[in-house]
Amino acid sequence: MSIRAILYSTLLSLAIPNLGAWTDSLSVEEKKSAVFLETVSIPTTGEFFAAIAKESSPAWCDIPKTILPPPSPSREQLALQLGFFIADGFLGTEAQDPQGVKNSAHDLFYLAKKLNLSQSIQARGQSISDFAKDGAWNSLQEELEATRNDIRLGMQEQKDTHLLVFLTTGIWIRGMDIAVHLAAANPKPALTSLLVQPAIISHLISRLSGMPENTLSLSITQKILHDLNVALQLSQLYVDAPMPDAAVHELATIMTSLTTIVETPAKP
Amino acid sequence: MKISPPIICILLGLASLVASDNKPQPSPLDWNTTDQSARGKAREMANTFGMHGYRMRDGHWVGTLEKGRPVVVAVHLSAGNDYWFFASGDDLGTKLRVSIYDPEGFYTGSQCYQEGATASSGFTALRTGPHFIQLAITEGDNTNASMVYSYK
Repeated sequence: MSIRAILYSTLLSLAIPNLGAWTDSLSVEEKKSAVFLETVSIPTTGEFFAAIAKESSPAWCDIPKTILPPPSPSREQLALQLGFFIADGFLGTEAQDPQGVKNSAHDLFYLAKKLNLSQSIQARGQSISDFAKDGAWNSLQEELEATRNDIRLGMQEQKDTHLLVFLTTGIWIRGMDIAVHLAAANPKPALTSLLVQPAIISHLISRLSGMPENTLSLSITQKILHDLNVALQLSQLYVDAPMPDAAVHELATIMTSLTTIVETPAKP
Repeated sequence: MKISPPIICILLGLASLVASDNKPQPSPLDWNTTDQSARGKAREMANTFGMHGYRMRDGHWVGTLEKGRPVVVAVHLSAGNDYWFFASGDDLGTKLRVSIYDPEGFYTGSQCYQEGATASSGFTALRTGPHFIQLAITEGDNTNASMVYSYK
């Protein structure tokens, strides 16, 4: 850390909060034209879990980990499954389970190799293991996100940009599946309100719908699009209203269906 | 939003001097490689919050800010989490401002700080959903800039 950073830290603590607003509100046009970046605008699983943990005391250790599915001939499905293991890495950090993190990382690297991406994240393996061993959970979360971004970069470099969407979708499905089942077991408004994410679901639908025809027509793409659309309709009902128990269970059913799609081997 | 006392902040800042060697390396994210400097400075600011329990996002925005043409970045935030957004510019002669708006587009009354070509703003999210982070130049004409954020 440089002297500048230390000075900044000091200044932050001494500065008087500036209460004046640049503008009181944004126009509809300004909101519509806001920049949306998947690596910034969509929260990490860890960020989502941090909010969940504030509203309940989940027994993160008791949540079943993803089991490495049988090899799939579908690269899209492999990208979805890769997303599951990234999310499981965040689950392992919440559970503060070094072995769980290492297991998830092992399976993540195995799937990355299947997609020719192991080179992209080679350097991350040791640091994930070291952070887990040292119990550096915050650093580990940052490393997991950086690993995800390295995978994204690797996909771009090998012209597999469509797989980015499946990776992002896989991470979101696994994180939401864990969260919704926690909420179903302990339904309270502050917790269930975190599950209402129509903007993210809309984005995923939009990205999947924009796939080239050969990818869009795949059975796995169609099934996921179907379930995401059902989840979106449900989510939109509760943007400004508490989510009743029945709706939480309905969302849990949808997430179970999506998880099954990701984990069930696709036909060659 | 809790702000630590000055003395604690100074001590933690010094402590992070020792700890900084063992930090995750950011992903290069190729579309941003031309602007490591602004990103680096923004990350440096965010790093100081690591000692307060904040986790820094690896993803970031980078681009050009022009006077009178603020940039708005949409970010999905979760109710209950604390957030700080950090922006930095390459041109030391510019001054930046970071403002946070809620899902309806209303200013959140967040805490803002500004020093030279760096600025930050933080708050506790009361609602889950897309929020809007406005980055603007308050002095100067234009600069390459970057924004990162941290949460806990």
